[in-house]
Order: sequence, then C-alpha cells, then structure tokens
Amino acid sequence: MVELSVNLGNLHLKNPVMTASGTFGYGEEYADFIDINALGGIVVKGTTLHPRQGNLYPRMAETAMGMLNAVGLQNKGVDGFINDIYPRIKHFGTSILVNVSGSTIEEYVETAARINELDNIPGIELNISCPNVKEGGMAFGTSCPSAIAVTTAVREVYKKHLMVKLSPNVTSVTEIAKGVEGAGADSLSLINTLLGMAIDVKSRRPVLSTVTGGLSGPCVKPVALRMVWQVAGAVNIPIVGMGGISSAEDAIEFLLAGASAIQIGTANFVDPTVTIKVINGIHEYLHSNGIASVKDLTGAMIID
Amino acid sequence: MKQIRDFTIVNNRCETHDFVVLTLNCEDELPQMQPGQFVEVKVDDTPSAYLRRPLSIHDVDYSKREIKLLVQEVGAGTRSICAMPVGSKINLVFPLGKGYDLPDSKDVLLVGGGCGVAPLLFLGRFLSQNGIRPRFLIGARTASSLVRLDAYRELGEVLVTTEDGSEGQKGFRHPSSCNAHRITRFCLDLYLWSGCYDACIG
Repeated sequence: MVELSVNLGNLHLKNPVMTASGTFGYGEEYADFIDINALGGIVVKGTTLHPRQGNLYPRMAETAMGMLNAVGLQNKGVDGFINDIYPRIKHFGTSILVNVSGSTIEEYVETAARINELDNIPGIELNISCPNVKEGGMAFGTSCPSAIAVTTAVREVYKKHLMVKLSPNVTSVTEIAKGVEGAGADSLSLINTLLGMAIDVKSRRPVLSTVTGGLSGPCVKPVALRMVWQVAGAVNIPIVGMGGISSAEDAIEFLLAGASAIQIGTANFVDPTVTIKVINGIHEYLHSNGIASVKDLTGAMIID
Repeated sequence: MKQIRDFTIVNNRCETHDFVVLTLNCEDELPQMQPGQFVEVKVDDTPSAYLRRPLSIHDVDYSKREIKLLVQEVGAGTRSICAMPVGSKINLVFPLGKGYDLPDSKDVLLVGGGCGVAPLLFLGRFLSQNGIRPRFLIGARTASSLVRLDAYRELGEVLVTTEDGSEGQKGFRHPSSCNAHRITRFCLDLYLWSGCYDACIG
C-alpha cells in the first residue's frame, strides 16, 4: 500500500492532485465526469471583493499545444461566493481553496478576511499574478516590495493556510518567492500563465480583445518545471507546481523538481477526467517503483 | 448527465467539397439529448488543434446508438476530424448546452444557413415524433453548398435560398456582408414579421 496524502504545512491533502483556479469552476461543473471527493483539492475561480464582468470577447485563443486566455477575473464577488456558491460546495470531501485577487491591498485584505470566516475553506491561494486585469493582479506579483506588502497585509487577517501564487513574468522568480516566504506565506504555487499574444493575419488584428493574455497548456511545461526547481532550491516552504500538467508523468516531473503537490488546469478542458487519471498514475508509479509515499518523490531528482 | 465516451466512426460521407457527415456508434446506451445541444470532439494527432471542437448534434438514432455530426472543414481541427476513416475511435464529451426552447405550436419554421443547419435535422425529427410537421428554410452561398436537403425533406417541406440565386429564392444581399448567417437572420425576421408561423427557430 502506498501513501498518497501530503501535508503543505497545516494543510492536509488526501493526495497531491489539485485543480487550478479558473479551469474547474467551483467543482460542481465536473461532478458528472469524476468523483470530486477523490481529488486532493480544488482551487475555485478567482474571487474579488466586488463582482467583475471580466474582459470583452474574444478572450480565448488556441495556440500550438496550449491556449491564451484573458477572462479578466469574471466572478460574482466574495459575497456572491459566500451566499450562493459556498453553501452548495462546502460539503465536498476535498480541500477547497479560494483564489483571492484584488486591485488594491485593501481589497485583498477584505476578501481574505471574509473567507477566513468560512469553516470549510481551509486555505486561500493569493493571486498576485493574474496577467489579465488592468490594475492590481500581476502588478503585485512582479515587484518584490509589492508582493511582500500584499502578503504581509493578508497574513495579518488570514489565519488559515496562505498559499501565494507566483507569476512567471518576472526576471527572478526566486527573489519574489523568498520575499513572500518571509512575509508569512505557508506555501507557494507556480506558475500562473505566461504573458503572450496572437494576431489574426487575415484581419491583421489581435485575436484577444485585450491584445495580450495568459498562455497555458503543455507548451508552458518546461518553463514551469524549471521555475519550480529554482524556487524549491530557494525557499523552505512547500511548493505546489503547475503549468501544462496533462499526465501522471508530467505530475511526477514536478514532484521530482521539488513540488509537494501539483495543480492541473488547462488539461481539464481537453479531458475532464484527467485529474483521476493522474492520481491513479501516481499511485501506479509509486507501487511499481517500490516507493512508500508520494512525499518521497518531492525534490528527488537525481543529478549525477 | 454529461458523459465522456469513445465512439466508433461507422460512416464518413462527403456531402460537398467541404462538408462531411460522420456517423458515430457508441457501445453503450446513449443518454437523452435535447435538440440544439452539442458535443465536443477531441482532435487527435494535431498539435495546432489542442482544444476540443464543439459540433452540433445533427441527428440521433437511440436504437442504433448512433449520433450524426455535420462537419464543415474550416481549419486544421475540422480538417483532421473530416479525414477520420471508418473504424477509427473518436472521443466525445456530450451532451452539452441547454438545447432549444421547444415549441408546442403546430406551424413551425426552422431556419438555418451554412453549417448552421446542422442542429435542425435533430430538431425536426424530434418535432415530427411529437406530431409537429416542421417546415425548413435553408440558406447557403450557392447551390453546391446546400447540404442534406433530402434528409430534411423526409421530415417536412424545405424552402431554399441561395445568395447567388443558383437554387431556390435569391437570398438577401447586404453590401457589408453576403454570408449565410446574415441570410438566416434576414429570413428569420421576414417570416416572423409575416405572421404565418406560430414559432420560428433558427
């Protein structure tokens, strides 16, 4: 029997496979396809203090082995989440984290404080890396002082697990990771999407209404893996790796690079059952390699 | 309930130079589907087509466990789907979307242009099984782009418009757009205003 459960500090996951924010709705949307309770965790859609309409269409574009999105944090606001959605999902037998975003530090703090009151939400993922909003979002995650400031302020009001989601659109991801660790983060998740764009050559216009958007899918995996490996060497808090994971083998690569858990995002669109396949594949890998616990894979890459 | 299933392609018939009708068979019993709902098809071995392709449910035969898709080749993804040979596996997520608000009235006109005609066959079959004989108004750019007229005629009268007048009534031409979609909208407005029908779906 192999052990799949992991602990990210004070956050217990029954297995290391979570779903990435913005790709899995609130979990309910996938309940026809998989047993939601079998997942290690769900990170629900990015939530802000006030409702947001998101960006104008088109806000998705397909690319080679991936896609661009510029949804722009469309959501019902934190009160909409608490009143309409939370009652429907709070009984899921998996760890539900809320992805929290904002335009100002005050908005992040107020949103986090309200979610702190929800008994069945054991943690938040602080989104300081969304590339698709004009103000806030990635602006906080691409400068070390502002990443530290927002993490420090949220840490004061948020008493449960504080995961901070890092942007890859920076010169040194390790500097920001260390700053956020020092500001009180319990764990780090990375990577958010890479800033990209596409042009329609027939019309000579940008494909996305916002011109630029966030690139995700298998095409970003090598970049994500490299960043997870670099950050794992720089901090002492657990890391949740993501970026193009579509198979158990992909997930195991991230664990070997130093992640304690992983998130699956864009691949859910192509195969709504992919999370279960990855959980089963990790189990099979551990069993066939005689490894007792998935924890033993974290950072176990061999460099001769 | 939404499902993810492998189907086997049992027929792949070219309708015109860019339209194909795929007949897909499922080993398991099909779930109930609503006219107007769609499937999402996984495109294999085509890196530029990473995401699934949404396609209307063109027709359903529950007893044979078959779904038909009317596919227009417009890019790399649909080209790959249209080229799938009989006997190959194709993966579907379905049924998706809400489907049409179904009329309970007698005189119903179903309007579609171009590949927009795809869901009207399943809708027409559903209506005819419920005692309603629909009439179809089908538009296309030109006569050679009219597809599946015989299948629609089995269910009801078919009126045809083409943009160039090469078959049926010459369709609406607007200086800014001559596409089939605009024709559909024009015809829809025309028939709604005329007051001849109880319901008009397009």
